[in-house]
Amino acid sequence: MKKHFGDILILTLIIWTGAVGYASAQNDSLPDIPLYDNAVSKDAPPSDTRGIINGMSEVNFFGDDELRNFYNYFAAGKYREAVESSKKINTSKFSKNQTQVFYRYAVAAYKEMEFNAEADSLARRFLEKDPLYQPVGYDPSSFREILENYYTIPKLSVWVSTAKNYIKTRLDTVYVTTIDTLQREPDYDYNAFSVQVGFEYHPIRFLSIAVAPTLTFYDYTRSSRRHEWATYYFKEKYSVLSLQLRVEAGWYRDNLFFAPSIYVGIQPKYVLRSRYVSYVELHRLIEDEPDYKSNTDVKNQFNYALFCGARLCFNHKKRFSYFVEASFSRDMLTINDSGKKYESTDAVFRDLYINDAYRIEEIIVMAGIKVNLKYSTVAKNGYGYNHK
Amino acid sequence: MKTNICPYPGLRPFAEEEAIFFKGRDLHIRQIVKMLEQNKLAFITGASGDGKSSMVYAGVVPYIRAGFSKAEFNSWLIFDFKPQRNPLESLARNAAEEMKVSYDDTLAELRRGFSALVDIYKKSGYYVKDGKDAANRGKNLLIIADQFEEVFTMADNFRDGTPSPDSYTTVNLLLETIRISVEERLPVYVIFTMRSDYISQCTVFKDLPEFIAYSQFFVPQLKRTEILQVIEQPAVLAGGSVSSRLTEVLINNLNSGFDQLPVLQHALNLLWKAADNGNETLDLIHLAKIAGFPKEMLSRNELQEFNLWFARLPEHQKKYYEKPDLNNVLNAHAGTLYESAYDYYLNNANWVQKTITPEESKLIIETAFKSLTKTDDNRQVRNRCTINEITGIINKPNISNATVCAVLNIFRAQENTLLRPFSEPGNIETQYLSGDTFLDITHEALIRNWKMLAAWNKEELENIKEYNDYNTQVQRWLDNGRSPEFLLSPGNYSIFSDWYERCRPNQYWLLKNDNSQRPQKEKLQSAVSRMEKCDAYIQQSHEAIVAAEKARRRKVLGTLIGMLVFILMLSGLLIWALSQKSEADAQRELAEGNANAAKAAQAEAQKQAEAALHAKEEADKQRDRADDERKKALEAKTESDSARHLAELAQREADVMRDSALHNAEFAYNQKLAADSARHEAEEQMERAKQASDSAAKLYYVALCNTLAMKAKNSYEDKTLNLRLANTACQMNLKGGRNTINADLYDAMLFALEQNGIVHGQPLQTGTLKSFAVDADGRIIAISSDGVVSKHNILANGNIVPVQINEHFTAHAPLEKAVFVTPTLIAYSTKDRTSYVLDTYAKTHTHLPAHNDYIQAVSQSPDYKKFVVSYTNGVVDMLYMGSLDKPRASHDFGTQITDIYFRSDGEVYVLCHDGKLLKWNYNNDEVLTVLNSSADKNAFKMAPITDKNLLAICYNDGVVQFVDMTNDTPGEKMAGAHSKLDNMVYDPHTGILALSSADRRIALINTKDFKEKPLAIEEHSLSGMNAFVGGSGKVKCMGFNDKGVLFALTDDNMMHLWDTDPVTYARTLYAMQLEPLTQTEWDLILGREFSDK
Repeated sequence: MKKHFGDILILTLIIWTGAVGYASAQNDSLPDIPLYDNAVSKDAPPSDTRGIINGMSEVNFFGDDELRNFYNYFAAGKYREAVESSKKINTSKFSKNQTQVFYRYAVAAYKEMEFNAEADSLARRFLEKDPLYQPVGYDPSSFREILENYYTIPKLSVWVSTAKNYIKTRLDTVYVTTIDTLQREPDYDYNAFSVQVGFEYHPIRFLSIAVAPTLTFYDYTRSSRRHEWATYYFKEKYSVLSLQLRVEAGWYRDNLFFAPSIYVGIQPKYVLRSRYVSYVELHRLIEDEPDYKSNTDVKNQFNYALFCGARLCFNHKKRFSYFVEASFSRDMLTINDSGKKYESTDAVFRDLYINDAYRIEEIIVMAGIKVNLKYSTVAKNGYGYNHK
Repeated sequence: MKTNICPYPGLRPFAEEEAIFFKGRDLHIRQIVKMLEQNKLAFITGASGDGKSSMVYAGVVPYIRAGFSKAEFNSWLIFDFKPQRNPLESLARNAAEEMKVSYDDTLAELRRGFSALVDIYKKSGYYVKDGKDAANRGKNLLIIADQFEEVFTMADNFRDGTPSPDSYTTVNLLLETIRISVEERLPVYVIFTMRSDYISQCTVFKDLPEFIAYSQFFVPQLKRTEILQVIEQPAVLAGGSVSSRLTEVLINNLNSGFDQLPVLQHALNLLWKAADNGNETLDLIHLAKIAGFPKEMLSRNELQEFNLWFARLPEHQKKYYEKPDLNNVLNAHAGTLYESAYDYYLNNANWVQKTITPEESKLIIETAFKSLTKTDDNRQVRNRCTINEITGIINKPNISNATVCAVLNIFRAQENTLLRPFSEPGNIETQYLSGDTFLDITHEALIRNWKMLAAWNKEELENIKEYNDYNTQVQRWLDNGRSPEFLLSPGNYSIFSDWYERCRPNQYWLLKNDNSQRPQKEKLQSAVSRMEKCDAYIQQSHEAIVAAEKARRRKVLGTLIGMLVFILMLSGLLIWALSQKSEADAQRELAEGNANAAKAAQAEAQKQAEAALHAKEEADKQRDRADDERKKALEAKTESDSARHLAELAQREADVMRDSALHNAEFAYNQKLAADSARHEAEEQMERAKQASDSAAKLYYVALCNTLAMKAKNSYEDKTLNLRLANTACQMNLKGGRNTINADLYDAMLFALEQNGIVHGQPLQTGTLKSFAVDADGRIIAISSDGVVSKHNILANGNIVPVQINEHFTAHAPLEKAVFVTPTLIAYSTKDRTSYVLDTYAKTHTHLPAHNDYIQAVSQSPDYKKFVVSYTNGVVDMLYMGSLDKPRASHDFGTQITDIYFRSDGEVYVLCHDGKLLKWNYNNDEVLTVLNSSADKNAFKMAPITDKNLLAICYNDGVVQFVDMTNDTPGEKMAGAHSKLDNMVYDPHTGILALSSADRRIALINTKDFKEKPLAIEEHSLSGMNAFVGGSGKVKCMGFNDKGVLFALTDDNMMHLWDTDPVTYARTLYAMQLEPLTQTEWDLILGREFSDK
């Protein structure tokens, strides 16, 4: 099993990435609703005479003949022609303002023509392009009415965070050292922190899946008093690369500033580097600490943990949000491989010490910044026209 | 057969009397003697087994006794000592013995150090300074400090890098003796022999390194020719011989390094015995017999002889011949002695009672050799030990000192000489030693070459380490007041109890390992005390563990019983659940039976329903027959009417005859009138001329009216000017003789009134309105998007005020679509595509059949008993007002429907989004196409003009299409607007058809005269001056009250009211009693050329 642990880890990653990609592709493509197939009016687009549109000069505003024609049709109440004209427009080169203009009047034109499902579809597409758009008073009323039926939630996010790990050791077996100690149980003084990058995807509104590579740095001192005048120290520093795979259930409301969520997951771990030093402090004289030596070979280099936690994300609808979270994690294997330890009997005589068999539990308090890359729209109150 | 003296001493060094057999060191001996002559000191060092002691005792000593050295006296006083456990005492003992003085005095004297030894010598009488024959009377003094490394290896002498005081005094004595003898030219000489690996430790003694520096002799390794001498010459001198091939094999097989010579000497000693004590030539077969040569390399005859000899060997001895080698000889010899010791003990020790078993004899040997060796700085060295100590460590009641001596005697026998002191056959004093006699291993080569002893030594080292760990635990327990908390844990107990059983430590064992420099008695007391504590500790730990184990077993038993009880309860519960399930199954079967019976009953009821339907059809036929009868009766009535008509015609003919007579009378009268007519004709010619003049004046006023109306729509600083202009325009309109008001003047009046806030839109404070209706009392009933239904009164001044409703009606929210069927009946859909009908009159709220889509339009039948509803998914349902929850007829048109109209019973007009108009007969579910779809048009609304039997349809291009409902044929078309028509409503009281369009305009078409230019409510009335594209002003819903007032709800949630009769606004202006235009205003606005006169 241990031999194939690496293979299993890679396979899990591939399946996970594939699933996320597939789900993403499924949601990215909106249903391709045909937008009004009838013949186009032969009428030339009426010239617009209003001059000022929404506080901006039309000369500076349009910069595109097709968009101008489309707008003039709309302004003249020739919605059918506006709809037809909108289909010729390529928005890929538009500025943000031009894109807003296009969608604002295209959605309204479809709605005025009572192409309800198509208007809905277009509005959703607009919100996915411009998820933070807030309707204003000068927007067409039909456009406003449709937009009020939707809100956006993040669909694809990436975060960076840092955490303080509070460690509790769970001793399975305390091995007898070659020279026994005054203490029955050793003291473990752990110090750890971690950094994390996360990728989160919302396949559905209340549920998200995330994969988060994490790098954790552990530093601990195991001290045991040998005699009244001597203390044995075993210090170790090791760093672990892990991969959090989590499923998160969240509560996202349009009118709330924050979004609470809870999550569970599994976290395969790999020990990147491990170095230790051991020495005895005699007569209260502190000798120079010897050089650290590697002992990665006696580690359970592959381990895995189960974890659960809760997150509170603030400003979650905005492009940049921030969060705090707390989680509890429990390793499923001991940090050292007992079998390997005993193969290396020279370590026993050299260090006068056998590592205890123990696993760790962590309480992780984390804070981070999240960037929402893509959004999805959510209909309020079950709203939505069926396409006919 | 002669008995030759064995010329090979084995492991022990050569004795002085064996000097003749000591070969190969002649040059080295001379070098040492020369060094002595010069320095008075020779410090002989070398590796273990290099023959240092032999070189002194069998080389140097005989050499100087023989007079080969330059010395003051002719004879020698020589005494040696080994440091053992106290070098000073040892020196004193031997010095006193040799110089024949009291030991105690000597010891006391020597403790003073420095020149004490020289002083004793000088006083002894052996030092004759002057006098006759002094050379013969005096004796030179040679002190041999043999195995001087014991100063460092014995813990009594040297511990933790510090020598004991007696050690220090001894070295001081010897060095001072040398120094004085050099200074005073005394014939006193000192020889040290010491293993070279302890040379560095000599630095702890002051001045010793300096002395060593100029007098050290490091014993060189023997060369091949010298080894040849060592092997062959002693045999020849003893009357024997060595085959040259044996010599070659021995020399070739001799390893360099440690134990070269001891191994060789031991092997030669055994070879000599194997060769019948030298009576045979020492050869390879003898080497094979002592396990030093492989038998396969022997000649055939020798092999045969060897095999016969080997077959007679005891089995336990044969295993040592598996890997024959020169280095194996010592191992095989010692191993054989170990196996044979019991037999030797039985046969040779008559002076002791035989109380032990063979195993016990092996235990004695093992314990003795463990005690006689130790590991010092990873070097395995000898450890002198008394018989008492060995017996004490064995600690068995049946094993006494005598038994120990008897068992170990085989190793001490002269033919074996592995342990010292050696025993002599037949001499019981040398066999039965006193308890305080020290035993010692003859040579450390035994430790390194006897594998069994090496293993024992390693085991003993482990035992000592274990003891140290154990002692730490014991001490911690003691330090904590023998607290149970510090007793051994089960794991530790297991480890230490195994060790306890294996090692069986006792006070003597502790004593052996006590390296402190305390007096022996004190050490023994301490060991006894410590042993008692160790025993108590392991005993109490055992008791504590047994007690804990008992408690754990009780706990496990309790848990098992608990689990058993739980399983039993679970089983009971399972059985109960199964019984419940079987009962439930029976109940379900019964229910299924009942259901089947119900189904049968239902089928029967269906049959009866079909029969009833058949009866109904029969009744319909009867009714049709009755209709036929009625038609026949009508025909009969028509015939009787015809007869009556004929009678009336006859009456009229008579009347014509009478009228003809009257006509003749009138003719005369008319002739008279013709004359009068001619007189009036002239008067009429004059009147027409006057009318032509009036008509021209009216046209002027009409033109003036139009101009004023146009000007009234301009913006002025003084907004009352708009009112006065509109008012003046009205006056001019009247002067122009028109009793109607055209669209321009209507617009001008509206503009002026709106500019002055007299006509204006008003918000209804009830949230965002979705739709409204006007009831028979002229009140507005509205529903908002959050489902609240509200009522509003219109005051005389046109203001709208909400009516306090005692009972609020609230629909489900939020609403997506709401349509008033009547002012009290609202059909609506919520956002989640659920539809309801709210009846505010009957106070009912009914769920409409589910179609998972929004309501699009509704229409009620003329008799108010039914209504139809269309959904955005193209389905139309016909429902009875009494049972709205299920449709009486339904049809899926498969296309988007925009409006419907319930024309009469059975006939519903359905307007499709693509412009098609269909007529659905729900009775027979037939659909008739009235208008085909148009490729470039979409239709949105229709309105019935009931008094003309027309249906108006509005399109996205602003065109209104009329359809004659009498024969379902398309009629006139007219342009209602230039953009998409949004809403359409018809007022049967005034005949006005109001059309709202996307360009924020409401056209008011007078259906009484389609050719008349329609009045229009322009954009300014809907959205004010701050209109923008797509912004406020779009009409969501319109309605009329019975007074011809048009209500319009716009998307900015404003309710607008307009009187569609323009005269009303003219009267309003008139009633305001506005100031007439001044001449200046007139001139500025209209120009001087215009005048109202």
